[in-house]
Amino acid sequence: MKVKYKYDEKIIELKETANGNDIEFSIKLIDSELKKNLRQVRDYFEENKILTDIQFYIHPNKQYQVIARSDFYNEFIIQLFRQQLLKEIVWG
Amino acid sequence: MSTQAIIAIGVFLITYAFIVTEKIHRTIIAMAGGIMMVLLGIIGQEKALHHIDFNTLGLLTGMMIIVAITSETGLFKYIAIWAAKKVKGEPLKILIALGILTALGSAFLDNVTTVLLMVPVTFSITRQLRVNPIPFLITEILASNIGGTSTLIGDPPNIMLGSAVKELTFMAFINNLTAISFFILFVNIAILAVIYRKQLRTSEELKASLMDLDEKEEITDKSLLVKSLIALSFTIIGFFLHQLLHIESATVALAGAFLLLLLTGEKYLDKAFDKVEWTTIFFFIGLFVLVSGLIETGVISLLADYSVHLTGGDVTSTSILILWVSAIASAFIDNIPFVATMIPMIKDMGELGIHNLEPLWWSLSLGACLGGNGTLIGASANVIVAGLAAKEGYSITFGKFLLIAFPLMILSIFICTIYIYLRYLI
Repeated sequence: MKVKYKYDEKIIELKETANGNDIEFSIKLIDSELKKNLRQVRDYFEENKILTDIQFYIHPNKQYQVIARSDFYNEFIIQLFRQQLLKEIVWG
Repeated sequence: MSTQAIIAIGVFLITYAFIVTEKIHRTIIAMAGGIMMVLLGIIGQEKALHHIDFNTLGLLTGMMIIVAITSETGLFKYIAIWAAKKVKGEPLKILIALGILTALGSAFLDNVTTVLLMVPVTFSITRQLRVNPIPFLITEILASNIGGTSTLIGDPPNIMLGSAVKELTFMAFINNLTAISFFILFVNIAILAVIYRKQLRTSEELKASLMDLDEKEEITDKSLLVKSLIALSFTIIGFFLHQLLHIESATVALAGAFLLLLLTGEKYLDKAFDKVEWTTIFFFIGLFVLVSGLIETGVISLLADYSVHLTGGDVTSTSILILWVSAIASAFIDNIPFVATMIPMIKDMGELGIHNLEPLWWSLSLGACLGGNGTLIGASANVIVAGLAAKEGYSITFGKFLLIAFPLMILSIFICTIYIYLRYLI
């Protein structure tokens, strides 16, 4: 079951698109203070020993591209919530 | 042959067999073999300790500490993205760039460390471009072993040679092996680029997305980066000057490591020591003691004597024999114990009448380092990359690797044969 989420549009913009077995997220941080929260999410996935679970790409102007393997989708959303980048999550 | 020599050969062969089968971790086996040599009275504890090459161990430990701290800065990801952008996100050119970067990295860091740094970045770049990562991973395996051949600190066999033979300094390796290694690298990469060219295509949109990446954002700790670069620069300059300064390469590496720890403070101390591969360090200790049993009982001298008889003491045929035997052996067995056995044997050949040992040392280095490219089990870097790839769902099978890598290894050794002959033997 996939997790559904809501976010505060005043601090973050988030778009997701399916891409084969991956889900690609486009994230823009409106509040620069949240950079370190997103860094925490990245560190969480980089500290495990799986290399292709979630991959982060940093573009200029606080734009982030994240490629998530579909089996790590929920975990990624949960980590975004944990770092207060999402307002609400529910089982969909 | 004495009873002690026969027992030493028995312990050595049993240990070697266990190392080859990989049923039990090689460190446990090597240490058990070394301890058996002492317990069975083949060699006393004092003499065994005397045979442990602390220069090799110090050099490895120092470099592992430097890399452990430097990798925390995001520097390696920065360099890889920068290189990918320099070649405009073109997958074929990225394959070449990452191959060259891996070789350069392996020239100064140990091969396993280099591939452990390169593989995550490779998955990241290939995922974004939606291209198959396997051609990149195979190129990096081959490049890491070739790059490691080019310097004294690049590959354990070279570290051992540099430590065992005073004349084989850091600069001697640069003068004798760097150019030929990079020539072999370019030949290998060119052939790989031709083989894989059709698999390495992506869309303009994905290339544009890669070109838009901000690699500067990958640097996570600028202050740590500056300190790491200072220590790394001092260390590399130290390697170039170590002969002039009359200090061993281990002193240079350990000075660099502890200069870095002095600059960063103790918060990195535990982390750095956690990342030192103690299993590798103890593997070396076990091997040094194991081989010392063969040295002290005269087995190595007998083998050297036999080899000199076989080649008639002719330096040309002995060099070529060492080059090819080292390469074929290293393709199937660990090159570290092989080189540990060969070093005293070549030294003994010197005493048996072969006066020009230089071509023999370079043959051993080239054969043992490049031979590792022959099969998937030929070198630690190969096994590590294949293991990481399999875990992510990309299989590099023994057969698939052999089909590409073995002919390339043979070609590399053929180039080395010409090089050794033209440079040292005529």
